[in-house]
Amino acid sequence: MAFTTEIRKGMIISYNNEPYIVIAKEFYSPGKGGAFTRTKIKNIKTGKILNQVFKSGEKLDELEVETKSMQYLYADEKDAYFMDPISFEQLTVPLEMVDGGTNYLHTEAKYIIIIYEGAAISVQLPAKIALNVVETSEAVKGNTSGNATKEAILETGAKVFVPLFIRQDDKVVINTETGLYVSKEN
Amino acid sequence: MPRAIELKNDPSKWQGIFIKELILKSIRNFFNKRGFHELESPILAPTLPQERYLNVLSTKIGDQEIYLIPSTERYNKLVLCAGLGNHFVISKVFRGMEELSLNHAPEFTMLEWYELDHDYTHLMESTEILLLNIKNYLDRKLKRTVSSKLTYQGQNIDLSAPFPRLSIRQALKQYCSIDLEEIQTLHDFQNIALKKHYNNAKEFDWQSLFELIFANEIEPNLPADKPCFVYDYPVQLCPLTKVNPNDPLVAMKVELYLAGKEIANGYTEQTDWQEQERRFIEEQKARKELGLPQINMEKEMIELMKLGMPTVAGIGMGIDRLAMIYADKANLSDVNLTSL
Repeated sequence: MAFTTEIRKGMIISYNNEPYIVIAKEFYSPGKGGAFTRTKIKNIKTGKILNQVFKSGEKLDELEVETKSMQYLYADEKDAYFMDPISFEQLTVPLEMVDGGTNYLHTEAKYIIIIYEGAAISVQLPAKIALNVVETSEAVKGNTSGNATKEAILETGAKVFVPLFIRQDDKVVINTETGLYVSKEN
Repeated sequence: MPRAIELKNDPSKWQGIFIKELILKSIRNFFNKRGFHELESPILAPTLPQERYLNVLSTKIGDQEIYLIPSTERYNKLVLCAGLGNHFVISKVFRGMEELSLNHAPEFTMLEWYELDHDYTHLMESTEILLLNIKNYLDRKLKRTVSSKLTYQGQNIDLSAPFPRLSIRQALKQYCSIDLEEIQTLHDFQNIALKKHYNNAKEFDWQSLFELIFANEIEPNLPADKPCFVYDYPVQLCPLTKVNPNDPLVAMKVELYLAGKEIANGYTEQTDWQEQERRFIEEQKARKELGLPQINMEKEMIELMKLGMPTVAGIGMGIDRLAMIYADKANLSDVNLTSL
């Protein structure tokens, strides 16, 4: 059992006997009324999304799920393939479940995968990831303004804006939540 | 969220703040033209009208607990009893909460206005005129074509009057298949909620059940392309409102919804001091039973009401939420300077 005040993104609950993953939550109070939690929950089996309001403190059934740290192997058009580094078991994850698709999938990074009844239901990306720049233009001379940027293509295919001093083959650190450049990796 | 440093780094973030500034100017123009007094409300209060779920912020002076007002209502009613007629207040008000959210902040700007010798239907009409007036003022000041239409987060909204009106009776019937009569006892309401798969219904009181069903089943069905008035709320929820003489199960309260947000809450005010005192005692008892912190009993207001409270309708409007909508911003903090 869990309480809605503890409701968090990625939490798996049983709601009307169906498994749901919480994809968003927000505190809500009508006028001078009580305290509630607005949620967006997604049915794990059907993919149907519900907007559901719970009363704060309301007990919800949290489902038993397995959480594994896994290594990314490769991806095809539809799916990404991960491996448990201890048992070497492989797991197929639909790419649509991964924020940014293949943008932040790299064999050297670790991913937390939530598994319910043998199937992946959520992939947690590392907060930051270091990736090689495979393509970017040379800095334009004379443009020295502090926050000027240019586009760069990374080894995963992700496109990001980077400062002008970044060159091809540099490694850059990207925030996977915002998709923004953080720093140059030395 | 504009923190000062973000405003420094990205001057475009002033826009939400400037829109709120213009809205405040247009509100003052609107009421000044109509001969309303502008009153300044104290922020601190020694007592407050009892409301069972009110989450109040407080401080202390010596040993005495002092409240940060959750609305200016207490002071509006004191001055009405003291003889002031039509008036408005623009003030910061305060509410306790579990956490910040896009649409909730512990301090926000509220407009409250009171119209003598009128009831809540008149408030609806004034609200329609005010909302369009603000829009026209913004259009003129921002050198845009004057229009009743705005777009909020991709949704077109037309502010032209009249706004659709939906009574709670209609809404319960239409969207929840509930008759107001059949949910009068807590027991009956819980059973109906259980059938609707509110599995913890037996643990909830009447107000919570209503607010839960309203949020889940009525609110998502309110019109998206127009503002909407929801009115005639169950008497159980309205300790400061006059009961509707034509329908004793409801009180003459109206809420304005715009872009899915609750923007304003007004009512024909309770003027009978004995009834008001009885409701305060009832709400205080409910707070005790819910295990919520006690609020000092509101005596000054009752004493003034004994001297005679005029027939009046009053309404409170959240200016930050209104500014969010007029400025097309997703977050309450986009229209305020904040450090939270």
